[in-house]
Amino acid sequence: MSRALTLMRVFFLRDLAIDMSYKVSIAIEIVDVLIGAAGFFYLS
Amino acid sequence: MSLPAISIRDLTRTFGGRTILRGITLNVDRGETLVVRGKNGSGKTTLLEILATLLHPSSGTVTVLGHDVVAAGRAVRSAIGYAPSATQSFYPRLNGRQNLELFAAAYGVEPSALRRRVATLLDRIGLAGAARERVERYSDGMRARLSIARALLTDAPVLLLDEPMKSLDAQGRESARELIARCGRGSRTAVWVTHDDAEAQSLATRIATLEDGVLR
Repeated sequence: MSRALTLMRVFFLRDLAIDMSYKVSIAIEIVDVLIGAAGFFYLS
Repeated sequence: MSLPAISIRDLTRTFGGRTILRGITLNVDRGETLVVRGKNGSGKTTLLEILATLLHPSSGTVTVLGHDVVAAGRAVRSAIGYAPSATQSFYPRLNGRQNLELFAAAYGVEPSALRRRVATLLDRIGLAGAARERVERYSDGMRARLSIARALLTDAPVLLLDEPMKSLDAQGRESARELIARCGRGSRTAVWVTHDDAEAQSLATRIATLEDGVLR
């Protein structure tokens, strides 16, 4: 079980590091999430 | 008498109708450096990929430290360090250090020892200066060195090296040879594949030659 959790953590960090290497893309994604959250907050 | 590190009995491997390995029988003792040489297409890489559990034998049995490569693949994989011939087996968007840390974590290297181990290997293989560069910017020689470092991440008792010096310059070859020799001291067993006769003579405790899938 701990081996499976370790691998999950490793692969998550791998994907995060790869995503972070695309700087513009990750910035647009963060802005998109913030706009979505703000829109949800004001419309609800 | 102790069990051989690697035991191969009547190994045959076919792809479609084509036979790549024909009835190979071979023992590799603990601490031995066996160099397998042969021309391109002679079956060297196929043999190594079977030892690394990447391919199954068509017939015959292969054991590494007593573990069958088909029935006990996981045990075999934890006993080997493998440097494949293709140097594309890294994440190109990650840097050299990140790649090694990722593989080390996946191999189960203790987190407390992981960074130090990676830093030491990068330094010894001459990549400390390029550790923060993305692998997509590495030359073939740099990737080959990174591949050797990855094979040495764990203190695996069996090393499988598929033409690890193919893309290295003279200095790179020397440092790689030194590193592998240093890490190979003691009871570590190595199977080293090459088509370079001079390299084979300088490294081997024993040389085997593959010709059209038959061991000479």
